[in-house]
Amino acid sequence: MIKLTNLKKAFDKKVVINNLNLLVEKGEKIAVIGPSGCGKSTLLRLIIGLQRPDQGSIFVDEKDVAKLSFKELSKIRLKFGFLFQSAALFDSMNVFENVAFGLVENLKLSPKAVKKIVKEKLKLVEMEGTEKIMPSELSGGMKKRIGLARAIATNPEIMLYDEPTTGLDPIRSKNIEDLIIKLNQELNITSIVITHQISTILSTSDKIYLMSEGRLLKPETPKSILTTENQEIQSFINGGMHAISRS
Amino acid sequence: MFYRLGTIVINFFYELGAIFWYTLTIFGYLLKGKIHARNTVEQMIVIGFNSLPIIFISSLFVGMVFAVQVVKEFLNFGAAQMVGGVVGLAMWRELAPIMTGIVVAGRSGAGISAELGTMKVTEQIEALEAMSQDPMKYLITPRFIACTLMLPLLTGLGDIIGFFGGLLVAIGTNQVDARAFIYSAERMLDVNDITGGLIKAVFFGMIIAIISTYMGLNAKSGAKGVGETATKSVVLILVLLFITNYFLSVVLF
Repeated sequence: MIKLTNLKKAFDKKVVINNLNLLVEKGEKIAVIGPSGCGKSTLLRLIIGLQRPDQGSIFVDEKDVAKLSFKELSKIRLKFGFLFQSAALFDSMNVFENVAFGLVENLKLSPKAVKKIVKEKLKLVEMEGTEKIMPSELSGGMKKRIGLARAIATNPEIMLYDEPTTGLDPIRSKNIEDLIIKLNQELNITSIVITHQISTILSTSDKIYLMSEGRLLKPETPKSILTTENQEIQSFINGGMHAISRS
Repeated sequence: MFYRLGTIVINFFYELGAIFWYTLTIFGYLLKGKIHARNTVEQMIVIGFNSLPIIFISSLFVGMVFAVQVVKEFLNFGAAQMVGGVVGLAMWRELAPIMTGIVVAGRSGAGISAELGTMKVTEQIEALEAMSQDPMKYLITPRFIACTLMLPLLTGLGDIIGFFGGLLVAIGTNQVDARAFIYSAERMLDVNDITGGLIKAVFFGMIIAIISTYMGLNAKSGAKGVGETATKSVVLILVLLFITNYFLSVVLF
Protein backbone atom coordinates (compact mmCIF):
# COMPACT_ATOMS: atom_id res chain seq x y z
CA MET A 1 0.00 0.00 0.00
CA ILE A 2 1.19 3.51 -0.83
CA LYS A 3 -0.23 6.45 1.08
CA LEU A 4 0.77 10.03 0.40
CA THR A 5 -0.39 12.67 2.87
CA ASN A 6 -0.22 16.46 2.53
CA LEU A 7 2.76 16.16 0.22
CA LYS A 8 4.53 19.34 -0.81
CA LYS A 9 7.54 19.83 -3.04
CA ALA A 10 8.99 23.02 -4.51
CA PHE A 11 12.00 23.68 -6.71
CA ASP A 12 13.47 27.06 -5.86
CA LYS A 13 10.24 29.03 -5.48
CA LYS A 14 8.11 27.00 -7.89
CA VAL A 15 5.72 24.72 -6.04
CA VAL A 16 5.12 21.61 -8.16
CA ILE A 17 3.36 19.46 -5.59
CA ASN A 18 1.03 21.14 -3.17
CA ASN A 19 -0.84 19.30 -0.40
CA LEU A 20 -1.19 16.19 -2.49
CA ASN A 21 -2.97 13.16 -1.04
CA LEU A 22 -3.16 9.72 -2.60
CA LEU A 23 -3.93 6.19 -1.50
CA VAL A 24 -2.95 3.25 -3.70
CA GLU A 25 -4.08 -0.10 -2.34
CA LYS A 26 -2.09 -3.28 -2.92
CA GLY A 27 -2.66 -4.58 -6.42
CA GLU A 28 -4.32 -1.37 -7.55
CA LYS A 29 -3.41 0.14 -10.92
CA ILE A 30 -3.54 3.89 -11.26
CA ALA A 31 -2.63 6.37 -13.95
CA VAL A 32 -1.63 9.97 -13.35
CA ILE A 33 -2.18 12.35 -16.22
CA GLY A 34 -1.57 16.03 -16.63
CA PRO A 35 0.19 18.63 -18.71
CA SER A 36 3.97 18.53 -19.17
CA GLY A 37 5.91 19.98 -16.27
CA CYS A 38 3.02 19.70 -13.79
CA GLY A 39 5.04 17.47 -11.43
CA LYS A 40 3.98 13.95 -12.46
CA SER A 41 7.54 12.62 -12.72
CA THR A 42 8.44 14.37 -9.46
CA LEU A 43 5.60 12.44 -7.82
CA LEU A 44 7.17 9.11 -8.85
CA ARG A 45 10.61 10.29 -7.69
CA LEU A 46 9.18 11.21 -4.31
CA ILE A 47 7.48 7.83 -3.93
CA ILE A 48 10.71 5.91 -4.55
CA GLY A 49 12.76 8.34 -2.44
CA LEU A 50 14.89 9.83 -5.21
CA GLN A 51 13.71 13.21 -3.97
CA ARG A 52 12.65 14.24 -0.48
CA PRO A 53 9.40 16.14 0.06
CA ASP A 54 9.46 19.57 1.70
CA GLN A 55 6.45 18.54 3.73
CA GLY A 56 4.15 15.56 4.21
CA SER A 57 4.60 11.82 4.40
CA ILE A 58 4.96 8.95 1.91
CA PHE A 59 4.05 5.63 3.43
CA VAL A 60 5.05 2.48 1.57
CA ASP A 61 3.81 -0.53 3.54
CA GLU A 62 3.69 1.42 6.83
CA LYS A 63 7.16 2.97 6.43
CA ASP A 64 7.55 6.68 5.76
CA VAL A 65 9.96 6.89 2.83
CA ALA A 66 10.54 10.58 3.56
CA LYS A 67 12.08 9.79 6.92
CA LEU A 68 14.10 6.67 6.14
CA SER A 69 17.89 6.45 6.17
CA PHE A 70 19.64 5.54 2.92
CA LYS A 71 20.06 1.95 4.10
CA GLU A 72 16.38 1.54 5.01
CA LEU A 73 15.38 3.25 1.79
CA SER A 74 17.48 0.78 -0.20
CA LYS A 75 15.52 -2.09 1.39
CA ILE A 76 12.18 -0.46 0.53
CA ARG A 77 13.35 0.17 -3.04
CA LEU A 78 13.75 -3.59 -3.54
CA LYS A 79 9.95 -3.71 -3.69
CA PHE A 80 9.93 -1.31 -6.65
CA GLY A 81 10.54 -1.49 -10.35
CA PHE A 82 11.03 1.87 -12.03
CA LEU A 83 10.81 2.47 -15.77
CA PHE A 84 12.44 5.83 -16.42
CA GLN A 85 11.18 8.14 -19.13
CA SER A 86 14.59 7.96 -20.84
CA ALA A 87 14.96 4.27 -19.90
CA ALA A 88 18.23 5.28 -18.12
CA LEU A 89 20.11 2.20 -19.26
CA PHE A 90 23.70 1.95 -18.01
CA ASP A 91 25.62 2.86 -21.14
CA SER A 92 28.84 1.11 -20.08
CA MET A 93 26.97 -2.22 -19.88
CA ASN A 94 25.41 -4.30 -22.63
CA VAL A 95 21.75 -5.32 -22.68
CA PHE A 96 22.38 -8.54 -20.73
CA GLU A 97 24.30 -6.74 -17.98
CA ASN A 98 21.61 -4.06 -17.75
CA VAL A 99 18.77 -6.53 -17.32
CA ALA A 100 20.87 -8.71 -15.00
CA PHE A 101 21.90 -5.76 -12.80
CA GLY A 102 19.33 -6.14 -10.01
CA LEU A 103 19.59 -9.93 -10.09
CA VAL A 104 23.37 -9.80 -9.60
CA GLU A 105 23.70 -6.84 -7.26
CA ASN A 106 20.60 -7.27 -5.10
CA LEU A 107 19.43 -10.86 -5.31
CA LYS A 108 22.97 -12.31 -5.74
CA LEU A 109 21.67 -15.11 -7.95
CA SER A 110 23.91 -17.67 -9.64
CA PRO A 111 25.08 -16.90 -13.20
CA LYS A 112 22.89 -19.74 -14.50
CA ALA A 113 19.76 -18.40 -12.82
CA VAL A 114 20.55 -14.86 -13.96
CA LYS A 115 20.98 -16.00 -17.57
CA LYS A 116 17.63 -17.83 -17.46
CA ILE A 117 15.72 -14.87 -16.02
CA VAL A 118 17.31 -12.36 -18.40
CA LYS A 119 16.40 -14.54 -21.37
CA GLU A 120 12.85 -14.86 -20.08
CA LYS A 121 12.39 -11.12 -19.51
CA LEU A 122 13.90 -10.21 -22.88
CA LYS A 123 11.48 -12.59 -24.53
CA LEU A 124 8.62 -10.93 -22.68
CA VAL A 125 9.54 -7.53 -24.16
CA GLU A 126 10.29 -9.06 -27.59
CA MET A 127 13.99 -8.29 -27.45
CA GLU A 128 15.48 -11.79 -27.57
CA GLY A 129 18.95 -12.05 -29.02
CA THR A 130 19.98 -8.52 -28.08
CA GLU A 131 22.02 -9.55 -25.04
CA LYS A 132 25.36 -8.37 -26.37
CA ILE A 133 24.19 -5.08 -27.87
CA MET A 134 25.25 -1.84 -26.19
CA PRO A 135 22.54 0.75 -25.34
CA SER A 136 24.08 3.27 -27.76
CA GLU A 137 23.18 0.90 -30.62
CA LEU A 138 19.48 0.72 -29.65
CA SER A 139 16.61 2.90 -30.83
CA GLY A 140 14.53 4.88 -28.31
CA GLY A 141 11.75 2.31 -28.31
CA MET A 142 14.17 -0.58 -27.91
CA LYS A 143 15.84 1.17 -25.00
CA LYS A 144 12.46 1.57 -23.35
CA ARG A 145 11.68 -2.13 -23.72
CA ILE A 146 15.08 -3.08 -22.28
CA GLY A 147 14.41 -0.61 -19.47
CA LEU A 148 11.14 -2.39 -18.79
CA ALA A 149 12.84 -5.79 -18.84
CA ARG A 150 15.37 -4.48 -16.30
CA ALA A 151 12.61 -3.03 -14.11
CA ILE A 152 10.63 -6.28 -13.95
CA ALA A 153 13.65 -8.63 -13.74
CA THR A 154 13.49 -8.84 -9.95
CA ASN A 155 9.69 -9.35 -9.90
CA PRO A 156 8.87 -6.15 -8.00
CA GLU A 157 5.67 -5.71 -5.98
CA ILE A 158 5.19 -2.12 -7.16
CA MET A 159 5.88 -0.80 -10.65
CA LEU A 160 6.37 2.87 -11.42
CA TYR A 161 6.15 3.73 -15.11
CA ASP A 162 7.27 7.17 -16.23
CA GLU A 163 5.86 7.68 -19.74
CA PRO A 164 6.18 3.99 -20.70
CA THR A 165 4.85 4.35 -24.24
CA THR A 166 6.02 7.83 -25.21
CA GLY A 167 8.13 7.74 -28.36
CA LEU A 168 7.07 4.24 -29.38
CA ASP A 169 5.31 3.37 -32.61
CA PRO A 170 1.64 2.27 -32.19
CA ILE A 171 2.46 -1.45 -32.43
CA ARG A 172 5.25 -1.33 -29.85
CA SER A 173 3.15 0.98 -27.75
CA LYS A 174 0.32 -1.56 -27.75
CA ASN A 175 2.85 -4.27 -26.94
CA ILE A 176 4.06 -2.39 -23.85
CA GLU A 177 0.47 -1.70 -22.80
CA ASP A 178 -0.36 -5.41 -23.15
CA LEU A 179 2.73 -6.24 -21.15
CA ILE A 180 1.73 -3.88 -18.34
CA ILE A 181 -1.76 -5.44 -18.32
CA LYS A 182 -0.25 -8.94 -18.29
CA LEU A 183 2.06 -8.06 -15.38
CA ASN A 184 -0.87 -6.53 -13.54
CA GLN A 185 -3.02 -9.60 -14.02
CA GLU A 186 -0.45 -12.36 -13.54
CA LEU A 187 1.65 -10.93 -10.75
CA ASN A 188 -0.95 -8.65 -9.16
CA ILE A 189 1.56 -5.82 -9.22
CA THR A 190 0.60 -2.44 -7.80
CA SER A 191 1.29 0.04 -10.56
CA ILE A 192 1.44 3.77 -11.07
CA VAL A 193 1.63 4.93 -14.66
CA ILE A 194 2.52 8.47 -15.62
CA THR A 195 1.51 9.08 -19.20
CA HIS A 196 0.04 11.35 -21.83
CA GLN A 197 -1.09 8.53 -24.08
CA ILE A 198 -4.86 8.02 -23.99
CA SER A 199 -4.70 4.35 -25.02
CA THR A 200 -2.21 3.66 -22.21
CA ILE A 201 -4.39 5.49 -19.70
CA LEU A 202 -7.50 3.57 -20.67
CA SER A 203 -5.95 0.14 -20.93
CA THR A 204 -3.56 -0.04 -17.98
CA SER A 205 -5.38 1.52 -15.05
CA ASP A 206 -8.34 1.10 -12.72
CA LYS A 207 -8.27 4.71 -11.56
CA ILE A 208 -7.16 7.81 -13.42
CA TYR A 209 -6.04 10.97 -11.65
CA LEU A 210 -5.48 14.32 -13.30
CA MET A 211 -2.76 16.39 -11.73
CA SER A 212 -3.61 20.04 -11.54
CA GLU A 213 -1.85 22.82 -9.64
CA GLY A 214 0.15 20.32 -7.64
CA ARG A 215 -2.87 18.28 -6.53
CA LEU A 216 -4.68 15.22 -7.79
CA LEU A 217 -8.31 15.70 -8.79
CA LYS A 218 -11.05 13.20 -7.91
CA PRO A 219 -10.22 9.95 -9.74
CA GLU A 220 -12.10 8.67 -12.76
CA THR A 221 -12.35 5.15 -14.12
CA PRO A 222 -11.46 4.27 -17.73
CA LYS A 223 -15.23 4.25 -18.43
CA SER A 224 -16.25 7.40 -16.55
CA ILE A 225 -13.37 9.53 -17.82
CA LEU A 226 -14.82 9.60 -21.35
CA THR A 227 -18.10 11.08 -20.09
CA THR A 228 -16.79 13.13 -17.18
CA GLU A 229 -18.21 16.55 -16.48
CA ASN A 230 -14.97 17.85 -15.07
CA GLN A 231 -13.84 20.54 -17.50
CA GLU A 232 -10.11 20.10 -16.87
CA ILE A 233 -10.22 16.36 -17.44
CA GLN A 234 -12.49 16.82 -20.44
CA SER A 235 -10.14 19.25 -22.15
CA PHE A 236 -7.13 17.01 -21.44
CA ILE A 237 -8.87 13.91 -22.82
CA ASN A 238 -10.38 15.77 -25.77
CA GLY A 239 -6.97 17.21 -26.58
CA GLY A 240 -5.51 13.73 -26.57
CA MET A 241 -8.36 12.36 -28.71
CA HIS A 242 -8.02 15.31 -31.07
CA ALA A 243 -4.31 14.58 -31.45
CA ILE A 244 -5.10 10.91 -32.18
CA SER A 245 -7.76 11.77 -34.80
CA ARG A 246 -5.39 14.24 -36.50
CA SER A 247 -2.62 11.67 -36.69
CA MET B 1 30.61 45.12 -8.51
CA PHE B 2 30.72 44.43 -4.75
CA TYR B 3 27.68 42.24 -5.16
CA ARG B 4 29.42 40.17 -7.87
CA LEU B 5 32.63 39.95 -5.85
CA GLY B 6 30.65 38.90 -2.79
CA THR B 7 28.83 36.22 -4.79
CA ILE B 8 32.12 34.84 -6.12
CA VAL B 9 33.64 34.69 -2.62
CA ILE B 10 30.52 33.05 -1.14
CA ASN B 11 30.36 30.51 -3.98
CA PHE B 12 34.06 29.73 -3.55
CA PHE B 13 33.69 28.98 0.16
CA TYR B 14 30.45 27.10 -0.47
CA GLU B 15 32.21 24.83 -3.00
CA LEU B 16 35.22 24.45 -0.71
CA GLY B 17 32.96 23.38 2.14
CA ALA B 18 31.03 21.02 -0.13
CA ILE B 19 34.25 19.37 -1.37
CA PHE B 20 35.52 19.06 2.20
CA TRP B 21 32.26 17.44 3.31
CA TYR B 22 32.32 15.17 0.26
CA THR B 23 35.89 14.09 1.12
CA LEU B 24 34.82 13.26 4.68
CA THR B 25 31.93 11.22 3.28
CA ILE B 26 34.33 9.19 1.10
CA PHE B 27 36.58 8.48 4.11
CA GLY B 28 33.49 7.54 6.12
CA TYR B 29 32.56 4.97 3.48
CA LEU B 30 36.11 3.59 3.44
CA LEU B 31 36.20 3.28 7.22
CA LYS B 32 32.89 1.42 7.20
CA GLY B 33 34.18 -0.86 4.43
CA LYS B 34 31.44 0.23 2.01
CA ILE B 35 33.41 -0.63 -1.10
CA HIS B 36 32.25 -2.37 -4.27
CA ALA B 37 35.08 -4.87 -4.76
CA ARG B 38 34.49 -5.79 -8.42
CA ASN B 39 34.24 -2.17 -9.53
CA THR B 40 37.39 -1.31 -7.56
CA VAL B 41 39.37 -3.96 -9.44
CA GLU B 42 37.90 -2.75 -12.74
CA GLN B 43 38.88 0.84 -11.98
CA MET B 44 42.39 -0.22 -10.97
CA ILE B 45 42.74 -1.78 -14.41
CA VAL B 46 41.30 1.27 -16.18
CA ILE B 47 43.27 3.86 -14.21
CA GLY B 48 46.43 1.85 -13.52
CA PHE B 49 47.08 -0.84 -16.09
CA ASN B 50 45.66 1.08 -19.05
CA SER B 51 47.87 4.09 -18.20
CA LEU B 52 51.08 2.03 -18.44
CA PRO B 53 51.95 2.83 -22.09
CA ILE B 54 51.55 6.60 -21.70
CA ILE B 55 53.44 6.61 -18.38
CA PHE B 56 56.21 4.54 -19.97
CA ILE B 57 56.62 6.89 -22.94
CA SER B 58 56.28 10.15 -21.00
CA SER B 59 58.66 9.07 -18.19
CA LEU B 60 61.25 7.83 -20.64
CA PHE B 61 61.32 11.10 -22.54
CA VAL B 62 61.13 13.33 -19.46
CA GLY B 63 64.13 11.46 -18.02
CA MET B 64 65.96 11.73 -21.34
CA VAL B 65 65.30 15.43 -21.89
CA PHE B 66 66.28 16.24 -18.32
CA ALA B 67 69.53 14.29 -18.77
CA VAL B 68 70.26 16.13 -22.04
CA GLN B 69 70.24 19.46 -20.19
CA VAL B 70 72.04 18.22 -17.09
CA VAL B 71 74.79 16.31 -18.90
CA LYS B 72 75.59 19.29 -21.11
CA GLU B 73 75.88 21.76 -18.23
CA PHE B 74 77.58 19.41 -15.81
CA LEU B 75 80.24 18.49 -18.37
CA ASN B 76 81.05 22.18 -18.71
CA PHE B 77 81.70 22.27 -14.96
CA GLY B 78 83.57 18.96 -15.01
CA ALA B 79 80.96 17.36 -12.74
CA ALA B 80 79.95 14.44 -14.97
CA GLN B 81 80.20 12.04 -12.01
CA MET B 82 77.18 13.77 -10.41
CA VAL B 83 74.79 13.41 -13.37
CA GLY B 84 73.20 10.14 -12.21
CA GLY B 85 72.47 11.54 -8.75
CA VAL B 86 70.92 14.72 -10.09
CA VAL B 87 68.76 12.87 -12.62
CA GLY B 88 67.69 10.39 -9.93
CA LEU B 89 66.88 13.13 -7.40
CA ALA B 90 64.85 15.10 -9.92
CA MET B 91 62.95 12.07 -11.15
CA TRP B 92 62.21 10.50 -7.76
CA ARG B 93 61.43 13.66 -5.84
CA GLU B 94 59.69 15.83 -8.41
CA LEU B 95 59.41 14.87 -12.06
CA ALA B 96 57.93 11.38 -11.88
CA PRO B 97 55.23 12.18 -9.24
CA ILE B 98 54.05 15.43 -10.83
CA MET B 99 54.27 14.11 -14.38
CA THR B 100 52.33 10.95 -13.46
CA GLY B 101 49.77 13.16 -11.72
CA ILE B 102 49.39 15.35 -14.81
CA VAL B 103 49.11 12.37 -17.17
CA VAL B 104 46.53 10.57 -15.00
CA ALA B 105 44.60 13.84 -14.46
CA GLY B 106 44.40 14.35 -18.22
CA ARG B 107 43.63 10.76 -19.03
CA SER B 108 41.56 9.41 -16.14
CA GLY B 109 40.46 12.58 -14.30
CA ALA B 110 38.75 13.99 -17.37
CA GLY B 111 37.36 10.53 -18.19
CA ILE B 112 35.89 10.06 -14.69
CA SER B 113 34.27 13.52 -14.71
CA ALA B 114 32.79 13.01 -18.18
CA GLU B 115 31.57 9.49 -17.38
CA LEU B 116 29.91 10.43 -14.10
CA GLY B 117 28.58 13.66 -15.62
CA THR B 118 26.96 11.72 -18.45
CA MET B 119 25.55 9.20 -15.98
CA LYS B 120 24.06 12.03 -13.96
CA VAL B 121 22.40 13.90 -16.81
CA THR B 122 21.02 10.71 -18.38
CA GLU B 123 19.41 9.58 -15.08
CA GLN B 124 21.74 6.58 -14.78
CA ILE B 125 22.78 7.55 -11.24
CA GLU B 126 19.12 7.86 -10.24
CA ALA B 127 18.54 4.46 -11.85
CA LEU B 128 21.30 3.02 -9.66
CA GLU B 129 19.62 4.46 -6.57
CA ALA B 130 16.19 3.27 -7.68
CA MET B 131 17.73 -0.22 -7.94
CA SER B 132 18.88 -0.04 -4.29
CA GLN B 133 22.50 0.73 -5.07
CA ASP B 134 24.45 3.43 -3.28
CA PRO B 135 26.31 5.54 -5.91
CA MET B 136 28.99 6.42 -3.34
CA LYS B 137 29.72 2.75 -2.80
CA TYR B 138 29.18 1.63 -6.37
CA LEU B 139 30.87 4.49 -8.27
CA ILE B 140 32.91 6.76 -6.03
CA THR B 141 34.90 4.68 -3.53
CA PRO B 142 36.16 2.30 -6.28
CA ARG B 143 37.55 5.28 -8.23
CA PHE B 144 39.03 6.82 -5.08
CA ILE B 145 40.80 3.61 -4.09
CA ALA B 146 42.00 2.96 -7.64
CA CYS B 147 43.47 6.46 -8.03
CA THR B 148 45.06 6.45 -4.57
CA LEU B 149 46.70 3.04 -5.03
CA MET B 150 47.57 3.26 -8.70
CA LEU B 151 49.23 6.69 -8.66
CA PRO B 152 52.17 5.59 -6.44
CA LEU B 153 52.60 2.40 -8.49
CA LEU B 154 52.65 4.35 -11.75
CA THR B 155 55.00 6.90 -10.17
CA GLY B 156 57.37 4.12 -9.06
CA LEU B 157 57.39 2.84 -12.61
CA GLY B 158 57.95 6.38 -13.91
CA ASP B 159 60.89 6.77 -11.48
CA ILE B 160 62.64 3.71 -12.85
CA ILE B 161 61.91 4.36 -16.53
CA GLY B 162 62.83 8.07 -16.29
CA PHE B 163 66.08 7.22 -14.51
CA PHE B 164 67.04 4.73 -17.20
CA GLY B 165 66.02 7.23 -19.89
CA GLY B 166 68.55 9.60 -18.33
CA LEU B 167 71.12 6.81 -18.19
CA LEU B 168 70.68 6.10 -21.91
CA VAL B 169 71.27 9.76 -22.79
CA ALA B 170 74.27 10.00 -20.47
CA ILE B 171 75.89 6.90 -21.97
CA GLY B 172 75.12 8.24 -25.45
CA THR B 173 77.40 11.22 -24.87
CA ASN B 174 80.35 8.81 -24.36
CA GLN B 175 81.50 11.09 -21.57
CA VAL B 176 79.59 9.57 -18.69
CA ASP B 177 80.18 6.00 -17.63
CA ALA B 178 77.10 3.86 -16.80
CA ARG B 179 78.63 2.62 -13.55
CA ALA B 180 79.52 6.18 -12.52
CA PHE B 181 75.95 7.26 -13.32
CA ILE B 182 74.46 4.57 -11.09
CA TYR B 183 77.09 4.99 -8.36
CA SER B 184 76.38 8.72 -8.28
CA ALA B 185 72.66 8.01 -7.81
CA GLU B 186 73.44 5.50 -5.02
CA ARG B 187 75.58 8.08 -3.26
CA MET B 188 73.23 11.05 -3.56
CA LEU B 189 69.87 9.37 -3.09
CA ASP B 190 68.44 7.88 0.07
CA VAL B 191 65.26 5.94 0.66
CA ASN B 192 63.36 9.09 1.76
CA ASP B 193 63.74 10.53 -1.74
CA ILE B 194 61.88 7.54 -3.16
CA THR B 195 59.23 7.24 -0.44
CA GLY B 196 58.71 11.03 -0.47
CA GLY B 197 57.88 10.93 -4.17
CA LEU B 198 55.52 8.02 -3.62
CA ILE B 199 53.80 9.80 -0.71
CA LYS B 200 53.26 12.76 -3.02
CA ALA B 201 51.69 10.41 -5.56
CA VAL B 202 49.23 9.12 -2.93
CA PHE B 203 48.05 12.70 -2.30
CA PHE B 204 47.87 13.37 -6.04
CA GLY B 205 45.75 10.25 -6.51
CA MET B 206 43.35 11.42 -3.82
CA ILE B 207 43.09 14.89 -5.37
CA ILE B 208 42.39 13.46 -8.82
CA ALA B 209 39.72 11.11 -7.48
CA ILE B 210 37.98 13.63 -5.22
CA ILE B 211 37.84 16.47 -7.74
CA SER B 212 36.97 14.39 -10.80
CA THR B 213 34.16 12.50 -9.07
CA TYR B 214 32.80 15.59 -7.30
CA MET B 215 32.73 17.56 -10.55
CA GLY B 216 31.14 14.64 -12.41
CA LEU B 217 28.38 14.24 -9.82
CA ASN B 218 27.63 17.96 -10.05
CA ALA B 219 27.69 18.20 -13.86
CA LYS B 220 25.18 20.45 -15.58
CA SER B 221 22.87 18.89 -18.11
CA GLY B 222 23.58 18.61 -21.83
CA ALA B 223 26.64 17.69 -23.87
CA LYS B 224 28.04 21.19 -23.28
CA GLY B 225 27.58 20.85 -19.52
CA VAL B 226 29.40 17.53 -19.43
CA GLY B 227 32.23 18.87 -21.63
CA GLU B 228 32.64 21.95 -19.44
CA THR B 229 32.67 19.76 -16.34
CA ALA B 230 35.51 17.61 -17.72
CA THR B 231 37.54 20.70 -18.64
CA LYS B 232 36.95 22.45 -15.31
CA SER B 233 37.79 19.25 -13.49
CA VAL B 234 41.18 18.85 -15.20
CA VAL B 235 42.07 22.53 -14.72
CA LEU B 236 41.19 22.41 -11.01
CA ILE B 237 43.08 19.15 -10.51
CA LEU B 238 46.20 20.53 -12.21
CA VAL B 239 46.15 23.73 -10.14
CA LEU B 240 45.74 21.71 -6.94
CA LEU B 241 48.50 19.28 -7.97
CA PHE B 242 51.02 22.09 -8.50
CA ILE B 243 50.13 23.82 -5.22
CA THR B 244 50.12 20.57 -3.24
CA ASN B 245 53.40 19.51 -4.86
CA TYR B 246 55.12 22.65 -3.61
CA PHE B 247 53.94 22.26 -0.03
CA LEU B 248 54.66 18.52 0.06
CA SER B 249 58.18 19.16 -1.27
CA VAL B 250 58.77 21.66 1.54
CA VAL B 251 57.45 19.23 4.17
CA LEU B 252 58.91 15.98 2.87
CA PHE B 253 62.44 16.90 1.74
